[in-house]
Amino acid sequence: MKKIVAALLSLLMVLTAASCSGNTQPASSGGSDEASTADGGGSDEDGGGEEVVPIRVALFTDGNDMSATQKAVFDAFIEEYPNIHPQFEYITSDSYGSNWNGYLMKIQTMIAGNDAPDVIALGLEGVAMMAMNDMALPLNDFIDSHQEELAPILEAQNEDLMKIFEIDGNIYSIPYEANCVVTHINKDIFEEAGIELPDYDWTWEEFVEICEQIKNSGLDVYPFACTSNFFAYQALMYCNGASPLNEDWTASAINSPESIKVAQFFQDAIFKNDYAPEPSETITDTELMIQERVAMTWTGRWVSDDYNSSEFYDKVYVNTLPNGGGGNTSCAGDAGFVVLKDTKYPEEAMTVATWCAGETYARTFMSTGSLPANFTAGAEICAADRTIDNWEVMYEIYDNGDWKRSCDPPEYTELADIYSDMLSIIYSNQATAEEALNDANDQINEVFANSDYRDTPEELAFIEAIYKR
Amino acid sequence: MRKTRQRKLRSAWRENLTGYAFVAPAFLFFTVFVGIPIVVNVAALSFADFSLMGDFEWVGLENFIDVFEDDATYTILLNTLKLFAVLVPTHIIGGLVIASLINAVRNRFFHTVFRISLYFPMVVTTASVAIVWGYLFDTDFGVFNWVLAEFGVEKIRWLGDEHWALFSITIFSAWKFIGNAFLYYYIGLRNVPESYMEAAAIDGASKLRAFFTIKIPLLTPTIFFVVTTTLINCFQVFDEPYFLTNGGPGVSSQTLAMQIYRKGFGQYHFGYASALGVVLFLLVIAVTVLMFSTQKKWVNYDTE
Repeated sequence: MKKIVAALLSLLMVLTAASCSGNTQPASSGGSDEASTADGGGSDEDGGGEEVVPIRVALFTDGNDMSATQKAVFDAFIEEYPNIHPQFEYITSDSYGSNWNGYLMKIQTMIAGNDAPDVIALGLEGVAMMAMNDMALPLNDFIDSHQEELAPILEAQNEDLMKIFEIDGNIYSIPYEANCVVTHINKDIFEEAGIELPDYDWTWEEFVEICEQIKNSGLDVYPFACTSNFFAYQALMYCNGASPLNEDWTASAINSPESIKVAQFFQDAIFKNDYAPEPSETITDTELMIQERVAMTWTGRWVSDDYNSSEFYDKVYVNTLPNGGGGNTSCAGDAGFVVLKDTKYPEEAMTVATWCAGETYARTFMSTGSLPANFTAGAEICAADRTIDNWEVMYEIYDNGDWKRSCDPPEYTELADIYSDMLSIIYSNQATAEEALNDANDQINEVFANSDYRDTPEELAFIEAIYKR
Repeated sequence: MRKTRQRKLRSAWRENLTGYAFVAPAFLFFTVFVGIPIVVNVAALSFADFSLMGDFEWVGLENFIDVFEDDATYTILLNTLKLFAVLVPTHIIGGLVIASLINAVRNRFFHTVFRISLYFPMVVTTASVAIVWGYLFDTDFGVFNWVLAEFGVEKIRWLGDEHWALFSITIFSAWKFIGNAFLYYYIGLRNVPESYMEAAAIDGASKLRAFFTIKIPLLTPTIFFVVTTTLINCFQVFDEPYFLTNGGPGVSSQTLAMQIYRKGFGQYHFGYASALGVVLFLLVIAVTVLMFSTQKKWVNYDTE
């Protein structure tokens, strides 16, 4: 008897283990039970007997609970399109430093496992890779045939930002967020130190002067925190007339004299001039800003989520990057919803993807967080947000053309590691800025030389067609 | 005669069936999550160019050639060996010293408190405590440097300097994982019969002498187990450098396991990552075989 019981218990354990691994239910889905139980490959019927199409939408998240906003977006969407039920699946990136790499890896795993969503949110760095691998559907025909419906969305967009998602005449998305890097300034620290807030067209010399004033103010704060986020670091390169790659993204330009000047400035800021603390893996520049240990950081609106959760209100004033010879130029990027080629419902998937670039989505999802690419809704949203003052400058940067996109060739994952090591070496004083940049330069060129994306004339033509403003 | 044999066989099969049933879940788990991935990795992925999105392409030994031609491999292998050289003795000797000291504590309350305190870090996730330790180690705002400053000591770049980073990782690793070695040693020491120690005391042996001539020889099977598992774990070290330094400064604390993760899940070069995985696998196998082949010379299984 004991043996039979033991055998049955073992069998039960095996079955339990098997059933645990067999759950393919999306981690998170639309706001109704109906939507959450429908799988991506099938269709269902609503109460009126009409066919309901479930569209799986994958989004990047930093781990925040999105259930309430997700429900609101779902309700708003089905009010307009009752026969399409979007199921939002939030995917976190486990990459340290919270970038999109881990998210994209999970998307790729889903695609390889025949469990691909219909629509995915994609940052500008992933567009070229997706399009080159022929995984995304162009929206051109859909946009042409829905001109009237899409007019308010398209008119509220910056034309150049739209071009980031357009390759070789194919439009892969209408952006829903459009982040640019700006200088975040702690107003209270500036006031205590008796420093006036800078103008839009401030210069690098003025910035250095401010650093000296804060350092000598007697306040227990550093003038700024060095950024370990290469997107933000790129902005500091741009405003100094440097760039990580050459104009057509065929070779590295990271060890140009201008670039060395920037890197050396930040290394000296930590180890010579006492302008900045040594960056760490644990305490981010945003945390230092919230803890009021630094007066300035360089980042985008996306950190307003952190400001908001820490109730860091009415403290931060944003401004352009100081002109160090490259203008007050920022690094900017955007993200959009891309329809995957394998979707069974392209029309419905495109409806969801384009709707998400509209006002309702922005108002629901982006009260804090990224900067809405829909300028009309974005202006109202930012005005109501207490975390960032002088937010208008983030849109002025686009209006004035004071931005360049981040350099994201299809090899961006490998470049990201090179940049990360390079900044780590500079910030830890392991080598001089010039040595670190020369080393990074060689590595970048080696990546391009061995790249799988640059073998054929077609591939080279494709890279040439990427919008490189 | 035949019937008796058949009956015996049936009885033996029935008896074995219970054993098989108990082993089945673990066997199934191991096969699906360890066995099959190892076979696929060794036999297929390491000889292929594979990135999830592109086509699967056989490339022969190209990945292995790339691994050995890549300068980064040697830097990272050296880092792994450096960490290995520091972490292994810390865990093996540190665990034994602590277990011996706690075993000598007679007060039951303190005995229990020490045991729990030492094992507690083992049950906490590395990611969460690494953040706390990051705050302790921080150069400008960290607790350690704040305390040192009170004594007039200059700031130490615990995680920012390549030499100190290794030391800091070792401190964290010892705090986090030494409880594992401690637990095995502790159990082993508790199993040494008290009568042996009493006999040694009557014969006039000092406590230290009794420890080295009685306890240590009786503890060698445990020491063998702890050394073998620690060697294997230290070759695969990932959590500590990943969360504390992310392999930095530069690549000075990057390990083989981190490089596998970076190449595979960061850059989508699964073929290269698999080849590196095979190299790590062979290193671990070599160490394990070496340990087992030398055990006869120093491990004492005779408890009588």
